Amino acid sequence: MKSFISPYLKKGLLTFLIFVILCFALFPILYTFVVSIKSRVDLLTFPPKLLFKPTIEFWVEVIKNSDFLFYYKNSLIISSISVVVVLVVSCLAGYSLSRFNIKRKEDIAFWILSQSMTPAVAIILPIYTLFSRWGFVDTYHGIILVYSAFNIPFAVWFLRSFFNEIPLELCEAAKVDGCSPLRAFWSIDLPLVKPGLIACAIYTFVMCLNEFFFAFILTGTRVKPATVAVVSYLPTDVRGTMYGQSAVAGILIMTIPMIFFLFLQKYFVSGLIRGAIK
Amino acid sequence: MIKKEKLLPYYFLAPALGILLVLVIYPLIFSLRLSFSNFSFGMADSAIAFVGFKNFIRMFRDSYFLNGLRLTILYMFGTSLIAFVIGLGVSLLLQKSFFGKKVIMNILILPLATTPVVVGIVWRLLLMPDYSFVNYLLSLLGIRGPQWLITPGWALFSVMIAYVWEWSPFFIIMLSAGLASLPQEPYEAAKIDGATGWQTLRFITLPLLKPLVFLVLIIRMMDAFRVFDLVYSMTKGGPGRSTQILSYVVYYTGIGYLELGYASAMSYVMLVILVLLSIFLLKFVRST
Amino acid sequence: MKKLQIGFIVMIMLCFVMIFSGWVLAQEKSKYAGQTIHVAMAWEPREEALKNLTKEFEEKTGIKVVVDLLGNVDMKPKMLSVLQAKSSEYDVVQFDYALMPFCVDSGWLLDLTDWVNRDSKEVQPDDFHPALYNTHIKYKDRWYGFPLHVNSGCLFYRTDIMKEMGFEPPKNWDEAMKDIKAINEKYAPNPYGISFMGAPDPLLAIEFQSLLTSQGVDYYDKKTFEPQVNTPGGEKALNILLEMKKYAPEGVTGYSLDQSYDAFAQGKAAMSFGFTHGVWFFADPAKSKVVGKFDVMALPGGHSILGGWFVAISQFSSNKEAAWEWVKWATSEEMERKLLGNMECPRLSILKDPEVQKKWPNNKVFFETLEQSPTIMPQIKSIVELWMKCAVTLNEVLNGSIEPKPALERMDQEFREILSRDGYLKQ
Repeated sequence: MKSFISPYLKKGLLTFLIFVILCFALFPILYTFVVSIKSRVDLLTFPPKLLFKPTIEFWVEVIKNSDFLFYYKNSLIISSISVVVVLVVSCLAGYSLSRFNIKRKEDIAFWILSQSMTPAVAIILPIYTLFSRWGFVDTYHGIILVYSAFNIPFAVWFLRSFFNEIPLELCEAAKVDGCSPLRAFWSIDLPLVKPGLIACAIYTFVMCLNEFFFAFILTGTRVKPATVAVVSYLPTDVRGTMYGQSAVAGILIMTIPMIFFLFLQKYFVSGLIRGAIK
Repeated sequence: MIKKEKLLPYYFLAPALGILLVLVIYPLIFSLRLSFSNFSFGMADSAIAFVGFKNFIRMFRDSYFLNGLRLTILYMFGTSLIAFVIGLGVSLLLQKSFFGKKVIMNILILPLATTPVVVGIVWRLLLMPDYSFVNYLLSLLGIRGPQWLITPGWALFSVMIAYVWEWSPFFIIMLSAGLASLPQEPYEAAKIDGATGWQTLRFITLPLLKPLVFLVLIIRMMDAFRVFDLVYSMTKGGPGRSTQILSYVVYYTGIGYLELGYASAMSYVMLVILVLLSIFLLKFVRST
Repeated sequence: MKKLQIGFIVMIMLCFVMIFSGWVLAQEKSKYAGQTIHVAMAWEPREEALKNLTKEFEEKTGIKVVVDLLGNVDMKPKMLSVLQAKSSEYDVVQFDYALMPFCVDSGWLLDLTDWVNRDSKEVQPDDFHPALYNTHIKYKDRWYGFPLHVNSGCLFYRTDIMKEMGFEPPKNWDEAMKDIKAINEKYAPNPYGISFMGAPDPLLAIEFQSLLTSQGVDYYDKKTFEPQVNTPGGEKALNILLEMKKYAPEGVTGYSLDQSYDAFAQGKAAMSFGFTHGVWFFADPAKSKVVGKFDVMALPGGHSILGGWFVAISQFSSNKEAAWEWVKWATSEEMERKLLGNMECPRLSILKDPEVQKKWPNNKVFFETLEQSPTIMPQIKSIVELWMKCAVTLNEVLNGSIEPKPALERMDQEFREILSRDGYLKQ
């Protein structure tokens, strides 16, 4: 049975497979880069021009001659503050649903999770109406509130499973030592869920950075984030789709999550896995 | 003092519930009311009338809605299964340690960092009618590629490829971490019994991974059920209506056709399906 | 000597007074100085040019203007949310003219009739082309909008190829199809006969409507609202569309406006069904390989379709008068002349100008179209639904997933449903 495939062939096959998979994962990203330096006339030819004169016009246009960096800054501000809000609020809620005796807490936890399934189209009008009444449209706090609301359910559920994992004895011991519940939460439980917090932070950050629909309706010129700005490079009018510009914008947006993933991967993976298994 | 202690858990819960109440529950109740009304954009408040279950009855005669539901279910199961198979395969491959494994892992998860809107643009460029780069590569191998985005049948598949590309890294990292955390004893026992690789996978690895697999599937399926940006930037629902998935139909009914009452009813049906599905899958996870 | 000194001092003082009063006068800009208005418009070249020029307006009047340019596809959900919530987020809004009756009936737009009469010297209401009155400007005889972005359907053709073939610009669709067929047989795939918008989005439906009107029918009868697609005229129109597909690049059923333009600009099609403002696309060397090798004409069947957007003042604006100042400024004749390089113009005095017609052939075509009773898009509430459903069916016909006859029947039935639900068609 085993002798059918020689070990060398097997190894070769394996290497080839991994190579194919790597190509599949990497190719579209590399292609995005190629698009960003290929002039429009060169891009829209078939068979594709493999040798072409690279151009930096799109990079110059997006970075220097447009407000894209301003929108990008908005994106970063909104996403990072949302992460903080989400972490604080869901940490408390997750802890509460894990540690304390609350009636029907399993049901409450599931109910919170199910809130994340709400289709955005269904609730955008009521939210907009509320926001315009309160003057929240096109403000940082408005859009941060919405992003928080839509990331809290998953975060609560996720962090709760981390708190569940901490052995109860630790807490009991603390109680015996005369530790108040608040203090126990702060100095014993919180440090133990650090990997979960980091994983949750990265996940929330990427979700906020990539969000489009709410941002589109609820922001205007002042706090418009980068995803909404990218879409304006895709008009269906006489200027034609601006492939080059949108590729540049896309690369800029994905840089920061990529850096996160590359350097914090360890935390992210171990956090997700622990959060998911329990 | 005792009272305060008793209330503490609720103090902890309050901020989360408060935010959800204002920004999710209230709007949901609002749109529940809408879904039983004839409300459409531009209507004066006085003209809004209660129409009972009319919207829900209409839905099940609406060929666009039914078509959307069918496509969405196909899409949801299709993408999750393909991504799962890829994820499992790759994580099995990566289980052995070899030179450069870390770098490969790092590259493999890069697609997770991309923005859906941009993913759509890039894949449209790769598969675009007349200029498709993928077809060019295929033609080098002597294969005449299909017109991906404009042939009924291939179009939905193309959107699925883009989605799988973006999200199979999620399966890869979850499953390979899961595999790493499995106990070693069953495998040693299997080796002694002379089990083949396939048998080990079928009878040991998969059962042990089951809870994790279902959890990952729930997370991804819920998301795939609501996909919108990808379809919008890749096919705009075409050709014909062969990629008009449910969220697209709801969006167009609400924002395009202005019938917000009817669209709310549709999205409620969507929500109910999602919740039922996740209850079912969660039960499955807990039972194992 | 002393007298002279006094006179000198008085003169200097007079000078000061004059300078000072001049300064005061310059300061007294507009009654509404200091107010801020928000303008929402589609992000298109003309609107962008206008945004850049708005500084002049700010300096002149002291009104601060924030122009928010929104992607023209996704602008609608935003506008609908804003107006339905009766929000004052925007003072000036822009809409597709097909939606004017809907917006007015919803009570969202300010009735400008009295202000137009009051300021008729500045507005010059008679200078707008009469054909635009019932579409971009008035509804139920009241004045609501100003045409700020107008265009019409047209046909682009390659002058070099037409010359080689010895063809004249075609007079009707039969002639045009014959030319397209001949070109396609001789040259395809470099170039194919024609490119058009075949993707299932509203543009396909709009294209189809101009084919319908060239055959003497329409989506529906404008008076009785009785659908007219399932008629011999409708069948003929659909056949023209199907025949065009035969002579078009392979990917045409996925073309929206920009892909169709790309095909023509890359020299892959000898003709292109488009809109007049396409001339800038084809004349731009960064996008086009056919610079100087193309010309534009009104659609061969006559009755080219009229397109465009209007600006209006929101009923919920808190600075209506200041917004009115901006609207007057943005649509004035002076401004229209400045913006000629970006789009067609709605004003007669400019359209008739022979120099303009010579320099901007698209304006000539647009003027001709306006003179020959253009096709008007349906001005009903459910216009988008009608377009989308029509386009989906047409795209399916082009794909071959449905035969023409059942497709026309389906369209007829869907139109009937929509028109009777909105209360236009009485059963």
